[in-house]
Amino acid sequence: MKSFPYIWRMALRRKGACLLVVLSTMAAAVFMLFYPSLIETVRTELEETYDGIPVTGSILTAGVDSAPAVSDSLWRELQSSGYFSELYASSHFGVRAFPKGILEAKAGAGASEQDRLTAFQTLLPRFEAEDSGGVGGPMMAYNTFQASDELVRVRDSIRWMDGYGESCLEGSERVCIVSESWGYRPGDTVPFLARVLVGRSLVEGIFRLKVAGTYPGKITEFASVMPLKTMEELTVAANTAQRQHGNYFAWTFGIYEVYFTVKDNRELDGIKTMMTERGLRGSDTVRVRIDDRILKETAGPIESNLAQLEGSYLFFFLTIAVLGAFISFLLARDRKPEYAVMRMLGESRLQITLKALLEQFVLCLAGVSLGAAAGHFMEVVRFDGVVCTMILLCYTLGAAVAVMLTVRVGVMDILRDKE
Amino acid sequence: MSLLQAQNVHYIYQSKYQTVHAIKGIHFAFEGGRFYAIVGKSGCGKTTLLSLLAGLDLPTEGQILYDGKSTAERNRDHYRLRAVSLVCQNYNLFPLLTVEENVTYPMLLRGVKPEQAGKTVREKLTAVGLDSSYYKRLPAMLSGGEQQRVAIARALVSDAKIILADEPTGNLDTENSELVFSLLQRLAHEEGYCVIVVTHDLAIADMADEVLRLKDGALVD
Repeated sequence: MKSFPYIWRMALRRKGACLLVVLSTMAAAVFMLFYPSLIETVRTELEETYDGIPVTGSILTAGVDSAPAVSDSLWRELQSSGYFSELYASSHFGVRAFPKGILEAKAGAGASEQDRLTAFQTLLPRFEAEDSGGVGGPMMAYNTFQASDELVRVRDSIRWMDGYGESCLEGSERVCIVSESWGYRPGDTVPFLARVLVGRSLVEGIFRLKVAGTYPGKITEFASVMPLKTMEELTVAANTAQRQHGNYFAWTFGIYEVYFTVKDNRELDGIKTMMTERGLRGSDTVRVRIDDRILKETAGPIESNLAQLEGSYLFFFLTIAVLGAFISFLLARDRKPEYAVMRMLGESRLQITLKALLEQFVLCLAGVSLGAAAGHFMEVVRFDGVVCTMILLCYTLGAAVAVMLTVRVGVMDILRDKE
Repeated sequence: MSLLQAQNVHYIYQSKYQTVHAIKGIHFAFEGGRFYAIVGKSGCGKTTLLSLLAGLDLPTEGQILYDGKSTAERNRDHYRLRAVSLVCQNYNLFPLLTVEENVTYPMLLRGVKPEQAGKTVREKLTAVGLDSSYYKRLPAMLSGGEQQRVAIARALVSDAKIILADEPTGNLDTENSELVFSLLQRLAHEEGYCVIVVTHDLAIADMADEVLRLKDGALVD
C-alpha cells in the first residue's frame, strides 16, 4: 500500500471523476439523511390519525326476547381488558310499582315502611285492573349516568337528594331515579315488584329502592333507573333467597347493551380477535358493530404510503450500491491501461483492487461527509452515523464489484493496443 | 549458467474462431550481459513469447525457468516485480504521474520509501539522458523518445537483471531508435543486463549479440 499515495495523486488529477464521485455521494447522503425525517413525518401523521379519530362501537342483544348480549363474566373481562376508554352498559327487567299517592291512600298518611310494603302487597293483585293506578315498565340499570341518552337530556331538570348526584349510578347502593309524576320525593323509598322471565317461567319478587333523584314528566323508554351493580347484587340476592325456599333457578344477570369507545385504535385487531374468541362476533343473538370506517379510510392510505416509504429505503440503499458500481465501472474502464501497467510492474489483482477500492472509499467518505455537513448546515437533515455508514458500505460494495470486473485485464493486449 | 531458459515451450490459445498454436517448441537459454533480438514477421509469436518470458502467462507445454525454477512454480506477480522489467512500444507510463513519480512507482512496490528512492531515481534518469528539468513533467509533455527513456529508467530502478522490450523503437524516429538501442546495448554489455528485444527491424536486430528468428511460432536458423 506504499504506492497508494501515488494512486491517490492520479485520482486527484482526474478532477472531473473525483467531482463526480464526491457530488454523487454527497447528493445521496443528503437524500438518505433527509429520508428518515420524511418517514417520521408520515409516521407522526399516522399516529395523529390513530389518536385523533375516535372509534366507537356497540354490543347489542339481537331480537326482543333474546338473552343478554354480554354475560356478567364477559362484562368484567371487558371492563378489565384496558381496551376501552369509555364503556357504557345497560340492562333491564320488568317492574311494577304504585304512585306514592295511591300507596299512602291504602296505607294511610304517615304509615311506616312496613305498612307501606303491606299496602303494596295488597294492591298488587289489582294491578291489572284499569283503575288500579299502577305503573309498570322496564327498570333500566346503567353503569354510569352518561350511558343513558334520556337521562343526559334531562340532567339539568333532575332533583337530587342531598349528597347524591349523577355518580350514584356508578355505585352499588339501592337507589333509583324515578319520574316526579309518581309523587315520590328524593329520599322516599319505593317498593317494586320485579317480573323476570327465567326460562319459560315468570318469576316475581319485591324489592325496595331509595329515590336518589326525580326527573320531570315521563320518559317512555323506562319506568325507573337504578345502578347496574345494584341490579347485579339484586340478582345474586334473589337467587340466594329462592334457593333458601327450595326453588332452584338462576336469574342470570347480563348486559343487553354495551356502547364503547376504543382507547387505543392500534389495538383494534386485538379487540376484534377478543370479541370473535368470546363468540360475540358472528353470533345470531348478538349484534356487534365497530365503527372504524373513517379510521380505516383515513389511516389506510397513510399506512400504505408509510409501507412504501419504508420499503423504498432498502431500495435506495441498493440504488447507491448500483450507483457505486456504475460510476466505478465508468471510471475504472478508462483506467484499464493503468491497471495493465500496474500488473506489468508486478502488482497483483488483489493489490490493485484494494487500492482502487480505497480510492473510491475515500472519495465516497468525502462526499458523504460533505453531504452530511451541508444538510446539517442547511438544517434539512440530522446526522445519522448508521445511515452514513450504510451509504459508504453500499457504495463501496458496488464499487468493489465494478473494480473486480475491470481489473481482470488482458495485460499484454492492453499494453500493445494502447494507442 | 543461463539466467532465463525456455524449455520446449508451446503455447496454444483459443481465438474467436480457431485454436492457435502460437509457440511451437521453443528451446533457448538467455544469459546475462548479452543483448538478444527476437525477430520475425507480424503474427509469428514474438510478443507471445515475450509475455511468457515476462510471466504474464504460462506456457501450455514446457516451461520458462528463471534461476533454475519454473515460472509456473513462482508467484508470477513477484517474478515480474523482482526478476524482469518490461519495456513496451507504447512506453506504458502512468499519464497522470510525473516523470519522477513514474520511475519511483516500482520502487514503492518493492517497499522502498519515496524519500529513499529519490537518489536512485535521479541516477537512473541521468543514465538514460534525462536531466532534472524533466522530473516534474507529465509524460504527455515529452517526445516519444523521451518517454521511452523514462520507461527504460523505470525498468532500471528495479533490481531485475532481465529487460524485456517489445518493439521499444516502434514509435520512434531513426535518431531516437538508435539512441534507445545503444542504451539497451550499453546496459547489456556494461552493466550485465540480459536484454531481450522483440523487433521487426532487421537492421537494428543486427546490432544484437544474438538473433532469434521466429516463423510460425518456431525458431528457425
